[in-house]
Amino acid sequence: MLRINRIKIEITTENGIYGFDTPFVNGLNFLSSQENTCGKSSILEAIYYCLGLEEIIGGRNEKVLTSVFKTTLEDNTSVWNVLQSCAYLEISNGKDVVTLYRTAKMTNRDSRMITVYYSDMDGLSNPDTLADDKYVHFPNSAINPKGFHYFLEKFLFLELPQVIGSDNTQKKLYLQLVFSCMFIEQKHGWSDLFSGMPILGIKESKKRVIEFVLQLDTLKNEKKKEDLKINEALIIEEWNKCFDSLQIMAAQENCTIINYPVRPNVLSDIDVERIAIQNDGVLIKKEIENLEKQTSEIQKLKPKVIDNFEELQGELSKTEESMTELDGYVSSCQKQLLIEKGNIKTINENLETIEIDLTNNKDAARLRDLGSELQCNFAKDVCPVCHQHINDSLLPKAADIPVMGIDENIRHLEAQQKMLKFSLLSHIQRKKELEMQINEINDRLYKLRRLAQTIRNDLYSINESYSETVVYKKITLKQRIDGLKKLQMLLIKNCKELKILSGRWQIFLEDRKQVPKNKFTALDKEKLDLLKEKFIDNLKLFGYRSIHDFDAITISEESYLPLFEGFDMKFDSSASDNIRLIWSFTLALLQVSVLTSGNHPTVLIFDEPDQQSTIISDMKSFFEKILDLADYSQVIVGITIKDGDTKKAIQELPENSYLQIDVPNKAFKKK
Amino acid sequence: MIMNNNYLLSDKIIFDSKPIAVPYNYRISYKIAQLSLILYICCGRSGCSLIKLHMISVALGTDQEIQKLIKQTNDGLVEIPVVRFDPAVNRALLYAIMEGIIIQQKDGKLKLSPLGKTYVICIIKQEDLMQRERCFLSKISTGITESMIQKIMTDWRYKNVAN
Repeated sequence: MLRINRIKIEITTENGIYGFDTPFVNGLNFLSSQENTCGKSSILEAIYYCLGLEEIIGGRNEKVLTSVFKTTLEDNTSVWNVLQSCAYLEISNGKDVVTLYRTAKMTNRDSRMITVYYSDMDGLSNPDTLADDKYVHFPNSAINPKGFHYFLEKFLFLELPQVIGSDNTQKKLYLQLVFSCMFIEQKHGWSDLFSGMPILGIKESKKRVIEFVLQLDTLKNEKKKEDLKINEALIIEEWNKCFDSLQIMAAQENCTIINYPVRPNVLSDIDVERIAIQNDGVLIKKEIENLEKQTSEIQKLKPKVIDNFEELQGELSKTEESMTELDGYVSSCQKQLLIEKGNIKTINENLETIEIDLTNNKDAARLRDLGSELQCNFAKDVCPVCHQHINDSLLPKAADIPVMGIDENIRHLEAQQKMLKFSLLSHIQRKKELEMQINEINDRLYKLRRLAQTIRNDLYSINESYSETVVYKKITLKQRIDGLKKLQMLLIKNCKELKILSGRWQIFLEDRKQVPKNKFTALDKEKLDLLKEKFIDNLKLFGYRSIHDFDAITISEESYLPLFEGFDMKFDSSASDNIRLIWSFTLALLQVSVLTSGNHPTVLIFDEPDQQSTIISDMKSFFEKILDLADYSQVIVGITIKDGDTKKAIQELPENSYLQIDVPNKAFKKK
Repeated sequence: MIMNNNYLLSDKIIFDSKPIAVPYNYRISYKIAQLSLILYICCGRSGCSLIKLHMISVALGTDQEIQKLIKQTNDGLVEIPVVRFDPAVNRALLYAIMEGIIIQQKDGKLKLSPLGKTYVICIIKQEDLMQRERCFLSKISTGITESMIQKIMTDWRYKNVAN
C-alpha cells in the first residue's frame, strides 16, 4: 500500500520563499478552494512529480508543471520571478516512512534526480538521516537499483510482472502505467477510463495493468505453461540419455535391451522389472550363471596338458571349424560392403548430374519466360512459321510422342532427386551396419585365433607343463563375466534413475493437468465477476442513467474493460454518465483488489470529480462510497466549492470522517 | 464370355504413352539462348560460321569437352579439335531465324538481330542465369576466328581424304 502523509512545496522568488505544507490522512481528504485557479492542481501535480509519475499528466520532467514552479508566481497584484522551486513528499508503505525530494527548478541539480530520505519530513534536519539519490526517466530506471521506480516498486512491496512490449521483447510493467488507473488527472483524466495512461511501448497496457492490479493468474499461467514445456523437454532428454548409456554398453558386450520404454511413461514396478538385457536370446543373469558354471568346470580340469590331450584335440578342431565359418561370413559381408560402397558412389554421381540438370532446367524455364516477354512464339510452344503447336523439344520425331513441359520436367527431376536421396540414406545405413558386423566378427575371430594358438601350443608342449588353454579360457571367461556384471549393475542403476524420472513425469503430468485449459482459472473468473458486480453496484449508486438494462453490462474477457452489449460502454454514455463510469470503475478496481488481496496500492487521487455538472446527490453518494472504503484506502479529492450545493454535500458527510484542507485564494503563501 | 473377363488375354489393352522427359540441352528456349550467347560473346561483327557454332555448342555439353576446347583455343588451335555436328543445333537455328532472333547473312554467316541482342542483354542482366555457359564462353571469347575455321576445313580436305 501507498500512503501520502504530507506534502511541502517551497518556491523561492525574488520576494522571498513562498510555500505550501499540509498533511494527509487515511481515508477521504478534500483539497478544496472557493475559486478556480487557486493552486489545487499545482499541489496534486507536485505529488505526481515527487513520485516520478508526471507522465500521467502528459510529459516528462518539470515542463508539465504549472508556471508557478517554473517562471512566475502571483502574489495579490504583484508578479515575482521564480528562482528556485522544489517539493517534499512524505510517503509510507504502512511500515516504513520515507521523504522524497525533487526539484523543479534549481541550477546545478538535475530535475530527473529524486532524493530519498529515510525518515519523515520532520527528521530531515537530523544529520543522521540517510539520503539516497535516485533517478527517473533514465533508460532502465525501472530495473536499475539506482532507478527511482525500482526503489518505489520495492518500497511498495510490488512485484511488477514481465510483459510483452510492442517490439516483442520482455519488459517490466511500468509503475507509471499502474498508477494511471489510480490518479485521475483533471485535464484529460476524465475523458475515458485510464485516458491518462502514458504510451510506453507495452502491448495492451490497460489489460496488463488490470491483470496486475487484480493479480489475475493469466500471466502466471502463461509462465507456468512455458515452465512445463521446458520441464517436459528436460525429462525426455534425461530419459533418452539413460537409454543411450545402456545401449552403448550393451552393444560393447554384444547384448540387446528388451522391454525398454522409449518414451517417458509413468512406470509401475513391474514395468521396471521387465526391462532386461539379452545375449543371443538368453537373459544376462542366466548368461552370467552359465559362464560361472563353465568357469567352475574348467577349474575341475586338471591343469596339466597330459591330462586332457584328447579334449584339447577335439577343441582345436571345433575352434578351427567355427573360425572357417566366421571367415566365410566376413568375406561375404565384405563383398556386400564393397557393393554398397559402389552404390553410394553411383548415387552420389547421379545426384550431382541431377543437380546440374535441375539448375539448367530452371534456367531454361526462365529463358522461356524471357522469350515470352519478348513476344517470341517458341516460348509459347507455337511454331514461328506456321503458328501450329510444337513440342518444346529439339529431338527428332518428337511430334507423335508427348513431351514433358519444362515445369513438369523440373518436378520430375526433383522427384528423382528426392528418391535418390532417400535411397542414398538407406545405403549409408546398410554400410554402417555391415561395418559394425564386420568389426564384431573380426573381434570374435581374434579371440578364437588366440584360443586356437594356445591349444596348439599346449598340444606341442611337453606333457608335464601347465595347459595354456585352460588359463586363457579362464581369463576370457572372467573378462566376459566382469563385463556382463558391470552391464547388469548399470542396468540396475539406470532402472532406479528411470523410476525417479517416471516419478518426475507423473508430477509433470499432474501439473499439466492443473493448468487451466481456459485462459482464466476459477479464481480469476471469481475476481472478474466480483469486479462486474461492484462496478454495476457503483453505477447504480452514482445514478448512472444512460443504460437501463444493467444486466447487459459485461466485463470484457479480452480487455477487462466494461462493455455494454459487446461495445465499449462510453459510446452509450452521456457526458456526465461517462464521469460516473470512471468513478465506478476506479472504485470497483480498488474494492476488488482489497477483497481479493490484489496489488492495488490503495491510494486514489481524483482531481475535480464534479465534471460535467454532475448532480449533487450523486456526488454525495460518491463521497459516501469513498467513506465506506476509508478504512483501507486513502483518497485525495481536489474540488472547487463554488456553489452552496457542493458545500452542503461535503458538510452533510459525518463529521471527522474526512479531512478538509482549505486552499486559500492563492495556495502559495509567503513564509 | 469368360474370356472377356480375363484382362490378361484381352486384345483391348491400351497403353497410354506417358510424356517423356527432355534433357535441358534439347529445349528450344535453352538452345536458342545458348546460341545467342555464343554469337554475342564469341563472335565479332562479321558474323559466325555454322561450323564454329556447332563446335562451341556441342562442346558446351560436358565440362571436359569445353575445357579441352578452351585449352586448344589458347594454344591457337594448333591441334585440330574434333568437330561434332548436332542436328538439334540446326533445328534451334531454324527456329531462331524464323523468330527473328538470329539473321543469316548473304555469305551464309550468322549474326544476332537487334531483337536477339535485347534478348541476350536481358539474359545477361540476370546474373544467376546460365552462369556456367557465360563463364566458359567468356574464356573462349573471340579466340576462335573465322580464318582458323577455314584452316580446319582445308585440313579436313587434305588429311581425311581416303583415296
